[in-house]
This record gives sequence, structure tokens and C-alpha cells, in this order.
Amino acid sequence: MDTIKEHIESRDYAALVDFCEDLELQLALTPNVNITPEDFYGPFLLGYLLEQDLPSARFLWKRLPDAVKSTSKELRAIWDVGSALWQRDYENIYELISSKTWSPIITPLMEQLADNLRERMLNLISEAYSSIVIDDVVKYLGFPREKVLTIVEERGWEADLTTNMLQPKKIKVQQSTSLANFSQLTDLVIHLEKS
Amino acid sequence: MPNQNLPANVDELIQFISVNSDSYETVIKHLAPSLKQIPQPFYLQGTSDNKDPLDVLDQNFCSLPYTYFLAARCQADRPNVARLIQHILSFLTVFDARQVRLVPDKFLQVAQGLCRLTTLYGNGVIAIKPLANALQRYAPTPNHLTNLHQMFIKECLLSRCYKQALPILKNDITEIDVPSTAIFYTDHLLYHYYGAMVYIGLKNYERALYFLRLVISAPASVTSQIQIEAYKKFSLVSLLLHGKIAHLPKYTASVVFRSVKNQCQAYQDFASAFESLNVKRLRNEFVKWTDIFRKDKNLGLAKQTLNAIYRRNIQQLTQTYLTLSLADIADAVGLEGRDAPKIAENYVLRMIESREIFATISHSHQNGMVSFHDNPDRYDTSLTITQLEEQINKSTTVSERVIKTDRLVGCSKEYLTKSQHMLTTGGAIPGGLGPGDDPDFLGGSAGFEHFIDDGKYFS
Repeated sequence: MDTIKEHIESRDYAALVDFCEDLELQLALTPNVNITPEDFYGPFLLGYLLEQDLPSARFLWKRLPDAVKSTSKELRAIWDVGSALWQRDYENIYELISSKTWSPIITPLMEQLADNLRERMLNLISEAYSSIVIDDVVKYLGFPREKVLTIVEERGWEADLTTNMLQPKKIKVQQSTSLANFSQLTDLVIHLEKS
Repeated sequence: MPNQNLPANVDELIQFISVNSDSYETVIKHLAPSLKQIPQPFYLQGTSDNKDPLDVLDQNFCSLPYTYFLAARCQADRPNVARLIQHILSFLTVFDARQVRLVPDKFLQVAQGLCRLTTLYGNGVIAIKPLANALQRYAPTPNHLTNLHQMFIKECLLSRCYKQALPILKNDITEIDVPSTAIFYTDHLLYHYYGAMVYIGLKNYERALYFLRLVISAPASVTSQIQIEAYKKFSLVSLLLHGKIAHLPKYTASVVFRSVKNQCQAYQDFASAFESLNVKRLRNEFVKWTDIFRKDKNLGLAKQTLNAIYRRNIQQLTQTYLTLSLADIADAVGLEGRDAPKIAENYVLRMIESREIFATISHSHQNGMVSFHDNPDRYDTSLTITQLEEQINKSTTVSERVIKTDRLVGCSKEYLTKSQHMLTTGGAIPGGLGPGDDPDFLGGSAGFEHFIDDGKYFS
């Protein structure tokens, strides 16, 4: 269990998932009464969600023993969040996350999941919209209007409160050509010359 | 080895094994032939002082006899499940691959036994990782197909451990070595069919399509049911990816072409409905064939195409229009109802995120407008270079393989006999590096036949 906590603290979710995959095997072989299903399957499931590996999360849910599924309300609630992600029902996700009190080990993961989703939404909106109704952004971010306005202001979006509109600012992708590119290029030319 | 020299009881057998396990050579020469002749019940017994051979024998040095013991016990009526699982699991981590490859069918029995036992034990998940690791050591190279491959992938599907199949599936199979891996024709078909199912589950449709294509285009003189099932999935996955059924390779066997035409009517009708991009027509066809899709267990895939047709339609619009209102988009792609513009907006948003289209939505006018753009990628980033590099590396490996295989075929007895035969009967030699293209190569060119007919140089 300590390893799981360590991975959560260091936010290394790929390692968390790897570790849980191995632990799942061990627990199936030699059950450990000290580890409750919530403690283990909860972070496991959320690890997949944080890694944006929705299919794997779905298959984990499908292969969970029925006994575990039916006894743990928290696991079901986690999967409700997962299935909302699966259906891209973004508006409801924040509600699902904030309406429950999660156990201590789950809480930081849920917060991270919501943060990641918000970041993703902000990027998507700035890419896809030249102007958008403020209420829509409120839905996509799951924050109250005031908070949304401060966040987008930090990003340099222009707000027009009379028309209730936001003009997102496009994100410029930085391009870099490093020396490594040139070395790859020379390798390539050498290879072509050779053959 | 004559029969009278065989060990008469388990004690002698163990003695015999330990004497002959010194080197790989003695194992091949003495141990392997004898073990084959020993009657099965021997492998189920304990020693005279009541010890289990599984505890006595070294799992690494005596991998070959150990496989025999395990295989027999896996097939026994009432095995001690928990103990046997432990033995197999530790064996799978230490076995000597060279010895085990001498008895591929016994090793397969052990692997199958493990799956059966863990299911009895209550959780098939136990078997997955040990099997994956064992398979990686057992295969001579990652590109070899073995007799374990298809059962492993099937086990992954059954225990819903799709992701865990990827370390095996990511290696393309280029080596088929029948004698040392004891594979059958269907192993190749099933492995790629199950593999495609894994990729479909994980939504990697490109790779799924590739695997299905391998199944369908496998050389055949009769059509396998596996190929027909593969074609059904192939047509639906093609629709999701390309909006029409992808072409089959030219070298697909003609019997397979004919059978899929005759037996996959539902899928072909459904595909032509999709290609018409008419949502109503597609829905009608879907209702008409729902039972068949369900029976074939392809309902999930078919349902996804109902969604995909809107995306395909939106993509078509980008070819014609520069700007369009959300309401017009909804109308053009066949979305209905009061919420249609909102649904259309969701589709557009999703497609922008997955970079299927490039567009900007604006709500400053009433109801929202969408302007479509060209792909903004100038292909001048370091990412492009990395991708290019990857592709070039791949191509080099493939071309090296092709040259190697070509030489092997050119040297093979079958090819030489055939070319000899062709030469004397005067036909052209098919395939190969030289004939046909290269007049200097034996046979193939008309000039050379003339040369033989002339006869005078050899008289």
C-alpha cells in the first residue's frame, strides 16, 4: 500500500498503473486481508483514467469480481465518473466528482482528474472557438462564473459581458530545431548514400 | 533407445534424468527419446520414499522432464490445484527455453493447464502475466509465431486483460517455423483474429484492420470460417476508418473472395448504405440486420458506425464549404430534433480535438458558425522528422527481410525443383529474384530456351 501512496504523491500515474497490474495478479493468487478492494482497485481504476486509457479502465471494471463490485459503493462511484468520461459527458463529470466525499487515498486523484480535464477543455476551447458563450465555458470547466472569468483573464482571453461572450486566445505552439535534428538528418543521408 | 533400457519405476526415472541432464547434447541424445516412450502414468506418481518429483527435480536443468511431469499432472482428473499452480508459476519463470522447445506440444499442455487451473481457482487473471513472460522467452525471436500465441491472446480476451496482450501483439510475425514450434495453419489465423479483437477493444482500429487483413489474405485452398468471421469485422472496422470497405490484397485466395461475397451479404449491404452517406438508409439497414450483427457478436462495432456516419458527413462538408452555420451542418448530415445544432456542435468539437477536421466555431453571430480550415501543419516540425525517421527505419528493416527471404526461397529445394521442371518443359519461372527480370539467370528468357534446343554446345 505504501508504494501506491508514493506513486500518488509523486503523481507518477504510469508507474501506479504498472504496480497495480502486478498487485492484481498477486492478490488473485494470495489474498491479503490487509488490503481492502477500495484501497487497491480505486487507485488502479483512477490511474487508468488519469493516463487517459479509457478502454483499459473499462476492461478493469468488467473483470472486477462481482463480490467487490456489489459491496463497494465508492468503486461504483469512481466508475460512474469513468463512464461519464467514456461517453464524453463532460458537463456532468464535475458534478459527479464534487458531490461525493471520497476516501483520503482517492481525493487527490479525483482532484487531479478534474484539473486535467479542465486543462484539456481550456486548450480545446482556445483551439476550437473564436468566440463562445460564457455559460458554455462554465459548463465545460465546472467552476462558478466568477472563477471562470478570473481563469480566462489570466490566459488573456477577452470577455464581453454585455454580449456574454468570450474570445479565447489561440495557443502558439513553439517550434524548435535543435542540433539533434541535424545529426538525425546527416545519419539519414549517410544511410541513403550507403544503399 | 531400446525398450528394456527404460527406467522401470519413478526412482529409476529420476536417477536416469539426473544422469542425462548434464548438457544440452545428452538431453537431446538420450533423455528426449526415452521420455517420449515412458508411459504416461509414470509422470503422475511419486517416488518410493513418497516425494513428489516436482519437488525433487531442478526446474531449470531438468526443464525437459519437468515439462512432461507438469503436462501429465495438468491433465489428471483431480489435481491439487493450489500446489500445481505454484509449481507451474515458478517453472515458467526459470525454465530453459532450449529444452522446452523440444516438446512444444507438452509445453502447450502446461500453459493450457495453467489457464484451466486458475479458472478453477477462481481468477483467470493469475495466468496472464506469467504466460506473457514465458511466451517471450519461449519464442526463438519476438517475430516467431509459436503454438502458444493464439491461446495466450484468447486467454487475455476471456479474462478481459486486453492491455496485457500488447507486449506480444506489438511484434509483427515474420517467422513461421513449423518443426520447432509445432504450429498449425489455424494458429496463424486465430492469433491474428484474436489479436484484431484486442485492438478493436482498445480502439486501435488501424492495427486491427491490419491483423484482419492478414487473416483474410492468408493462402488458402478452402475458406476457413475464421476468415469469414474476420471479413465481417474487417468490413465494419473499414467503415469506421475509411468510410468504405477497404480493398483486399490482390493475393487473397480466390475461394476466399467468393465465400465472403456469398456469406457476408448483411455486411455488404450495410457497407453500401454507409457509403451512400444517407443516415436514414443506414439506420434502416441496421434495423434489418441487427439480429445477424448480434449473433456474430459485432453489434457494438455496428453501432459505432451509426455514429461514425455523422463524422464522415461532416468531413465531407469541409471539402465543399468554407463556412457553415451549425444548423446547416445539422441539416446536411442528417441530425434531427430541436437539439440538432447543439449535437452538431459536439461532433465538430470532438473532431477538432481528435484532429479529424480543422475548424473554428464562432458564437458571435446568432446560432453559431463554423469555418473550416486547411490542415495548419506545415510538416516542418521536429515531430515530422521523428515520424519520417521511424518510417525510414521500418522500411529498411522490411527491405532487409525481403532480401533475406528471397534468398532463402531461391535456395530452397522446392523452388529449385520447380525451376528445373519449368526449364525442361519450357515455361516461365514464377517469382524469385532473377527469373523473368534477369536474362542472365537460369531459364526465364526465350534466348536461353533456344540455347538448349540448339543442343550443339553440349553434344
